[in-house]
Amino acid sequence: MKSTTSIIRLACRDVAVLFLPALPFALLFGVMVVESGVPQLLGWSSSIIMFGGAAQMTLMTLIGEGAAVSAAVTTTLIVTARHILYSVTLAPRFQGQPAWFRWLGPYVLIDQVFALTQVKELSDDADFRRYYLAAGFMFWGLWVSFTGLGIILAPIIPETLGIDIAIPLLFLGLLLMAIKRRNQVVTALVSGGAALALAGMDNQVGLIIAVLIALTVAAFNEPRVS
Amino acid sequence: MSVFGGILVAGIGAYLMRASFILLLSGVVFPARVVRILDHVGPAVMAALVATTLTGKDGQLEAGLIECVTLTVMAGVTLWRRDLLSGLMVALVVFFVGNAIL
Repeated sequence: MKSTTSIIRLACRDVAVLFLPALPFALLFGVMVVESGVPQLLGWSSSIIMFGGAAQMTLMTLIGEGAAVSAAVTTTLIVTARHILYSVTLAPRFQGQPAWFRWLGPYVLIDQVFALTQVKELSDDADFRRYYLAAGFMFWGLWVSFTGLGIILAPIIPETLGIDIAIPLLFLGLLLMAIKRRNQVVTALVSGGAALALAGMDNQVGLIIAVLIALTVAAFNEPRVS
Repeated sequence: MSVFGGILVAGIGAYLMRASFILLLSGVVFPARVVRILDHVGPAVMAALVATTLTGKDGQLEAGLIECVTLTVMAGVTLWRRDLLSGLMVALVVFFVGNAIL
């Protein structure tokens, strides 16, 4: 078991790296809120209530384009559906944890926090819990702050910041750090290839189908344990 | 439905998706093989996210030469140093220099 200070320091460092590529998107979300015509405080509240970049952007874009709120919410929930996979994957990791953490933890279970849980080797339950909470709520605090800043600075923020490559770079790095067994390379290649082939599908449905195809292949690739 | 109602429903929906299996399966014993298969979700999701974030709205690949070189550098440095920050910094420098030259 590590000390709380060292765990928080580790989480700070990791979140700083992960938030760097997300920062331009936090600012651009602020611009989206202003352009959508949604009251600014209401738009910003989605960072606290929903806490999910892609989902928030989908909701604001559709409302801004004049779609019915119910249709925008349905589309947003489809975009968010991959989080069910995170929940299944982390279910065994949360089993030894106190009930309050099982209820609170999922609130901050976004792509980056899930990725960190796959990369970090924290076998002790208490270490995992402290690291997860520190990283998750640090990311939450930064996202809420910078989306708010984006709304305030919207008039001077350009429509594109020209560093869209930062997000795929981050996920590629996390992918390479997360691979621990040879057969996971096959899973990643199948998933990436299928996601490219299905990228034209609406609302990132192709992403979920690609992951399910890759997991089916993984089930065949994973040796039966006697 | 009001905009606030929409945000609230989307937020509750997102939470339920994230919490569903963590709460429902808290008392279930997972067979070792299932746990090993679940170890593949991370690489599968991240690979799919890389692919999806490199494509445009109509599914066309938007990565050109500079983006491909940048991704290769990111992969090389991350594997070599086993450190995300080093990989990201070097790759972004390559990206900006590449864009300035070409």
